Order: sequence, then structure tokens, then C-alpha cells
Amino acid sequence: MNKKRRRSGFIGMLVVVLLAGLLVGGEAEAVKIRWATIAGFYTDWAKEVIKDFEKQNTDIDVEVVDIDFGVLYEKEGIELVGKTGAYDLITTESCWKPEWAHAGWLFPLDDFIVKTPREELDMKDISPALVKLACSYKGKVYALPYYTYTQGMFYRKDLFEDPLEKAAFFKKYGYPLAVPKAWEQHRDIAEFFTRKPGEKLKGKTLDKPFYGVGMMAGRFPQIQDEWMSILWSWGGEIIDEEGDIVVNSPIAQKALLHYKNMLKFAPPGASTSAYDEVVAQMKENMIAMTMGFYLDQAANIIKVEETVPGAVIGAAPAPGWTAYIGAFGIGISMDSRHKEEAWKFLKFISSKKAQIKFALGGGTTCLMSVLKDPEIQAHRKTCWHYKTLAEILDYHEKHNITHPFFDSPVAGKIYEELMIKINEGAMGTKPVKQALDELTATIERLRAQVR
Amino acid sequence: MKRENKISKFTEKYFPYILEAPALIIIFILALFPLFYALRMALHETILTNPGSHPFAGLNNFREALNKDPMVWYSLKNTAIFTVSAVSLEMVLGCAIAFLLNRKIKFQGLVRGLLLLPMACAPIAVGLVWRYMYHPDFGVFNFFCSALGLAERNWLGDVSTAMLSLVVFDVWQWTPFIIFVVLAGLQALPGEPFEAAEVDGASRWQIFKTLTFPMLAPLLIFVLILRTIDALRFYDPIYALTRGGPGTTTETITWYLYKIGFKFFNMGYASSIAFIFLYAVIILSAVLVAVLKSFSLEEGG
Amino acid sequence: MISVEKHHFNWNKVGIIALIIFVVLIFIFPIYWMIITSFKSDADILTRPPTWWFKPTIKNYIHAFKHANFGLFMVNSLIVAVTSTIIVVCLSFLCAYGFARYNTVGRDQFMFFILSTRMFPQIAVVIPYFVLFRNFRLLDTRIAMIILYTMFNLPFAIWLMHSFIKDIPVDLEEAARVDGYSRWRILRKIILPLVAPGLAVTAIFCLLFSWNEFLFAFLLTRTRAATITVGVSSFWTQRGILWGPLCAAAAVCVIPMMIFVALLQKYIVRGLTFGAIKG
Repeated sequence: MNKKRRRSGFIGMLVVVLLAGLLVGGEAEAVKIRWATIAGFYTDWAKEVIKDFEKQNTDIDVEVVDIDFGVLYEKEGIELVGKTGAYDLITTESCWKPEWAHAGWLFPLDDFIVKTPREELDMKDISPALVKLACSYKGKVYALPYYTYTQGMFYRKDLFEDPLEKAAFFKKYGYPLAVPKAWEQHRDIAEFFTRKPGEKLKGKTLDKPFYGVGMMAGRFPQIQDEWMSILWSWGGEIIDEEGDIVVNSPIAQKALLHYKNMLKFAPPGASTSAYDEVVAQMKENMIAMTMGFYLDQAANIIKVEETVPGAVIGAAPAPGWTAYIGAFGIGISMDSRHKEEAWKFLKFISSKKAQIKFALGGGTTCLMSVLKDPEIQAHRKTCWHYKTLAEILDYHEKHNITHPFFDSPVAGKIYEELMIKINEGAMGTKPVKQALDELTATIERLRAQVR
Repeated sequence: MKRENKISKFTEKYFPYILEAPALIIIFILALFPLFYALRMALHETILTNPGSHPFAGLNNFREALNKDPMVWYSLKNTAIFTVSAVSLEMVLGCAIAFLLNRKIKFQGLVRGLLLLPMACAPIAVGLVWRYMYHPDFGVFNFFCSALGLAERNWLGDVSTAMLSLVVFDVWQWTPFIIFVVLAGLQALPGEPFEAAEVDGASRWQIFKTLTFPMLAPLLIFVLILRTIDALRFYDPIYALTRGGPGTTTETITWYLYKIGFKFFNMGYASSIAFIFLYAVIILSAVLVAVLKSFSLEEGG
Repeated sequence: MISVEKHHFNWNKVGIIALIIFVVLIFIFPIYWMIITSFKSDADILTRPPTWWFKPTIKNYIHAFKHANFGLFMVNSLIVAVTSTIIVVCLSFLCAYGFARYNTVGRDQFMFFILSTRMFPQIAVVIPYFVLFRNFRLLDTRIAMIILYTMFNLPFAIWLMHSFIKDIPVDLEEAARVDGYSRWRILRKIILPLVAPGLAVTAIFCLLFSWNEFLFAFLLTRTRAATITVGVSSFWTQRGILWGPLCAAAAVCVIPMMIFVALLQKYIVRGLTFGAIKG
């Protein structure tokens, strides 16, 4: 018993000492700001940017906190709700911005922007389409986008340009094989390229099945991005201009039915796939193309040219141009105690220099001048998709394409619910109409609770 | 001298209260405060993304939960399906294995030690490992399936197998609990009635039916109560394995509460559901305890 | 006749042993799989079919500790678990003695209250605790987690110690009183040594619970006080799950508790059943 006492006494002392150390701490001289961001998304680049920034601003220490995207919403949310001021810089998704702006959790950046000279931050350089979608709410700017995942489409250029395949396609469908401009064409191509082992692809016999399309049909946020690409290109919306909920309109049902029917041209793992799996499928020579897909994955998906002999990857706007569009932004929390310092870092990250570094490191910037720069586009390994992306963003700006969904104060919550309902409809767990009707009811309830 | 007497008299009289005070104070403050806070949230419209104060809402949250939200009943159904499946499988398997182990074998200690291991594992940690084992392409379960000639499946993504996958996990982790308790119970049974029955020529089944089972019944029911109450709080493995999916087929009440509270930030509504659930569980336990008391001759849990 | 009996008996015995081995293998297989996966390189993990023979590497463990800050999580868990366990063991011992030997006010109601605290869905009380700790500026601190786990474990510990103390016959204490021992002395010199196994069981279960707890640690800590379970879950990133480092982290999380539990298996049943059933 004595030994036990002594041991527990020792542990107790140790604990007290450790706790004392923790409590006493010691105020560092530099101002500390914390940036909450998505784990795994170019955290190396983030660390480099922080190093550069801290060299220029020796009185500010930036701590980056990596949080898995699947729980980023609630982890940032709980700190914002609790007004803890724990995170100075908040990474926002397009759908969270209206919610958090409405709740008064994000600090409007307009004053800061007005005071910042053009050389440091050129707001006009940021894609206007993205500013509208990802940054502003009711006329004020709440976040600066630093990373866009706007969708286009990836496809196996070598398959599309193969003479044998082209001839066979024309014979079967009566029109030439080309990058699809409509979802019906997209479907035909997917059907065309779905082959069983023993059949031929590009003249060679297959020993494992090949599929026309890779789909992210798992119960993750990516499924609704794929579905919304179809929905929007047919003129449908989740919430229309008048503010009515139209997610169960006939167009929406048609879009979901179309999506569901595409599943038979996708690998069986589609029902639990997110974007990682689709990229892996492309690299393993399993699919011919994607649905609306995040162009920021370009640096990863181009590796198919290494893993599959003869493969050439191509990018194009998705049929209808209006695939899912959005960006991750960084905003300043209302309860941050160091807003000035946070702004210094925010404009540093959004500056052209940092964004160029980001681009060359494999990131996808939102600055149009960087996207359109031919020298940067020439970096095939990381920036080969920039030309297509710039075209897509220009198209959105030219045609003034907006989606009222991104201005709804419950957009984030709708987004969470969407993935469940779309997955149910796509998997056949519930009839398409029922899934969308239930979704409408939920959205109505959520909206009714907004004050 | 006098002061010492006074102090020792004081401590004599209030000795038990002095002993109990520290623990009870901590418990009362830290248990009752959240309970009352949650109750307060349930009685107000507490949606955390709405700026401003939270208006009083009376029993609105409770009414909405019971009358207007099919998901509440659906998730309760899922909870019931999970709990009943998992606990009954654990009871049956646990008893069977306990009977199997109730004999003199070498390496008793080793066997018991190994069977305890699943319970020692953090559910979230080992749950993620099971996610890997359930993986449709790289998981080892599908490997065993194809080796045995059975169909490979997408265990966690398929509506027909998702709940089963969760149940199998829980059975793996908690059957040892049943095994050890039943084993202890078996080893504590008095020997004479059994010897007498054998002398009388009763068959093994008869002995089991009239002696073993009735004598074990109070123990079994007690352990059933404990296991059920714990199974109702199942959360970590859902986080690791299915997150409520596919669709909402594995959304139990705990997961639904998480969604409402931390995705929709409607804490008032979530709290009201929690209280309704607590009420239901208390009633359920009271029923089970009454059953226990009717079986038991000595004091039960 | 005899040889047939012998033959029959042997088969029966062998069959039983085989069955027992089979059962044990099934229960420890996932743990075995976790451990060997933690020593596999990425190429060996994402294979179809799974690899059984491979070249082991400790890369995953290095990744976990170097790049994922896992060492800090382990230390946090250790401090929080040990400290809260010590507090719980001491306080529950005293309180349980009071309950066992004295018919204090509200004792029976309290015992029921203890069981009912396990019935309330944890999720619903996260926000209240969040608010409480925020108001005292205790978010993301180890102290908050220690306080929280102490609160979670006390009811169970009190009940458990209560059953152990009840085992000790009152005569010993009465004899000591006659001999002039003060109550405190009785506690220290007589009761404490006799309930040492009970203290051990209580300590084990408190350690186990604190170490394995996830939800509250996840929501109430950020970076400084995150525990080992939060650390393990962080390997599920947007880039996909890093299975190798995850299994390494899970192994580090799981193995200490397995060792503890295996060493004290004699008392496990007692602990599992709130002291109602002696192992």
C-alpha cells in the first residue's frame, strides 16, 4: 500500500507540475492568430505561405488548424456559436457563407477592402462569378476565396479521338463522337464505353470491365454537386428567383432520374464513392470520363497518363456549362480579437504572389489573371486545366448566372440534407419524387425557423 | 484541548456527510446544471444560427418531435432494431460461449485475457479499423467471402447490409461482456442441486431447463438491462462506419440528435427529443427491473 | 467397448478445444489485423486481395508521431485519464463508505439517479458543457476534460466501491472502535487495505472510460487538449483515409488498455456489473 501511495503521490505531483505549467503559460510577445482550414488540402502550401508571411510580419504568429472537411462545419460552427473567438480566420464553403453571415458570425470585410491598395489586393481580379457566389451576402463581402473547385468534366482524350471508337460510335448513334454538349449525349457516350471483359477498347481486348463514367454517388456532399450540375443545366434550381422551393419540380425529378439511370454505366463502387475514388478509377483505367467533376483535381488525375500507357487526359466544360461552381473562402470571425492582424494575413494569402505559388503547387486559384496567364497554363502537371476553368468562369460572368440557393440563410443546412436525399433517390432507396418531396418539406421547416 | 474536542465531535456527528460531500457536490453541480440547461433549451426556440435571443416556446419542441417529425420515429425504430438485434445476439452467443468455456481447460487465463480485449478497445479507434475491413475493394471481409464462395458486398454502402454491419461490430465488441458475466454466474452456482439431479437421472436438457436457467435468470436479466441501456447510446461506431448512411438507414436516435444539434444547430429541438428518449428509456428500464424482481429471490441490481 | 469410449471422449475433447480456439481467433482477429496493417506500407494496404505476407515498416508510426502530432494526444490522454482517475478513486471511496455504513438522507434515490445518468443521450448535454467551460475559459484545456471525466465516472465508481465495502464485515470496524480507533484511522488502516482490489477495479474502469471517450473530447477540445481518440479520428481526412497511420494510431490507442484489462481480468466481472456479481 505504501508503494501505491508513493506512486500515486508522485503522479499527483507530476500532474500538478504539468498543469501549473499549462496554466501559467506565458504570453508570447507576438500576436497569435489562428486559421481553421481543411485538413489535407494543400497544407504544405499553407505552411509555406505562413512562413513567408511571418518573415514579413515578425509581430504576428499564424497557427493553422487542420480539420477534416466532413466535420469542419460543426467544428467551426460550435466555436462561432459559442463566440469563443478561438479561430480568427474561418474557412468557409459557398453554402455556409450566407448562414454564418446572416447569423452575424462573420465580420464584413468591406471596410478593410476599401482601405487596401490595389497592389496588395485586386478585388477585380477575383472571378466575379465566384465573388458573388462565395463571398458576398446582401451586398457585403464576408470572405475572400482562395481555392475554387468549380466543376468541368474530365475525359480520356485518347479514347475520344481513337478512329476505331469514333467509327463505331457514329455507326451506333448517328452523330460524331465528341466532347458532349448535352447530358443526353453524355449518357450515350457513357453507354457506349461501358464494356465487359472480352470486348474491345481501342482495338485491344479487355480483361476487366470498363465503365463509361465515374460517379461520386456516395452519401457525401459530392453527390449533390454532380446532380446539381445536371439540374442547373436544364434550368432547374433548388430555390428559384422568387424564393420558392423548387427542388421537387418536374425538372429536378427528371435530373435525379437521369442521374440514377447513369449509375448503370458506373463502377459498382459508385454507391460509396467520393471524388477520391473517381480519380483512382480514372488512374486505374476503369472509366472513360466523369460527370461534372472538380477541376481542381487536375494535378492528381493527370497521373493517368503515367499509369495507363497511351492515355491522354482532357478537360472541358460540363454539358450545359453550368456544373457545380463554388470556392472555399476565408473569412474573419466576428469574435476574433485580432481582426487587423487576421486581415493582414488574409490579404497576403489572396495576393497574386501567394496565389501564383499556390497555382504552381497544384492548387486552383480564383484570380483570373493567374488563370489566364499562358506561362502558368504551360505548367502541364499542375495548371493544365486553367484554360478550361477560365472559360467556364467567363461564361458565368457573361451570362450573369446566379443561383439563389447560395443566398439562403439555411444553405448550409440544406446542403447537409441534400446529400442524404439525393443519395436515397439515386440508390433507389426511395422513389425519386418521394425523396425530393421530403427534401422540400425539410427545407420549408428549416426556412420557417429563420429569424 | 477544548477546541480539539469540539472539532472531533463535529466530525464525529457529520462524519458521513463529510465523506460524501466532495463527490456529491461535484456530481450535483456538474450533472444537474447541464440537465437544467438542456431543459431550458428545450422549452425555448433555441436555434443557434439565429441571431438574437431565443423566444420562449413552451412545449412546441416536444409537440413537433412527437407529432410532426417522422424522422424521430424512424430513428427510434432504427435504434430499436439495432438494440434488439445486437443485444439478443450477444446474449445468445455469450451464453453459448460461456457454457463452452465452463470446464477445466488449460490456459484458462490466456483464453479469458484474449476474450477481454475487444472490450478494452476504444470504439472509435477500432471502429475505423473495421471500416477498413469492411472496404468493398481492399477489405478482408470480402476476401473471406469470396474465399468461401459467398457474394462480396458493399457492407457499409448497401441498404441491406449496413445495419447488419453495425450489429456485427457491436456483437464482436460486447459479447465478451456477456460471456464473462454468465461464466461467473455459472461458476457461482451451488453444486448440490446439480449433483442431486444427476443422481436422479435427469437429462442434460432437463437440468438446464429446470435448474440452470431459472438460477441464472436474475443474472441474465440484470446483464440484459445493463447491456441494453449501453447499446441505446451507440454513437462512436456509427461515426466511424456509416455516419447514418446509406441514406438514413442507420440513423439511430443518437445520430439524429447529433445531426439536429450540430448540423442544423437546433439545440432546443434536439434537447426535447433527448428528454422524450430519456423518458422512454426510464420506462423501459422500470419494466425490465420489475421483470427482474419477479424472477429474483435475492436483491438484484 | 473401452476403446470406443476412449475414442469418443478424445474426439469430444479435441472438438471442444478446436471450437474454443476458433472462437478466440474470431474475437482477436480484428485486433491482429489492425496491428499487422500498422506495419504495412501503403502499397501493401490498398491491395486486392489483402496481403498476408509483407515486409514490415514502421513508417506509419513515424508518420503518426511526427506529422500528426500524435505524441501530444497521447500525453493529453494520459494526463487527463490518470488525474481524473485518481480524483474519482479517492472521492468515490470516501463517499461509498459513507453510503455503505450510514443511512444518510437520500441514499437510495441517489443510487437510482446514478443509473439514470447513463440513460440520457450524451449529445444533448454537449452544448451545456460547452457553455459552462466557455464561461470559465476552460475550452480546449485538459482541466476541463479532467473535470468532465471525473463527473462522468463518479456515479459508477461510487456504486462499485459501495459493493466492495459492503463485503467487509462490520465486526472489524466495531472491534476497532472498541479499541479506541478514530473513524479516520479505521478508514486508513482497516478498510483501505481490504478494498484495495476494489480500488484497482474502479481505477481500471475509470482509466478505460476516460481513455476511450470520443464525443466530448472531439467537441470540447481543439488542438491543445485533444485526446488520443480525437487523434485517431483525425486520420480520416478529405484526401481519403490514411489506413496505415490510422492503424498505427489505433494500435497505440488500444494496446495500453488491452494490457491493463488483461492484467486485471480477475476483477473485470465485478466492475462490469457495477459490483453486483463477484467474478
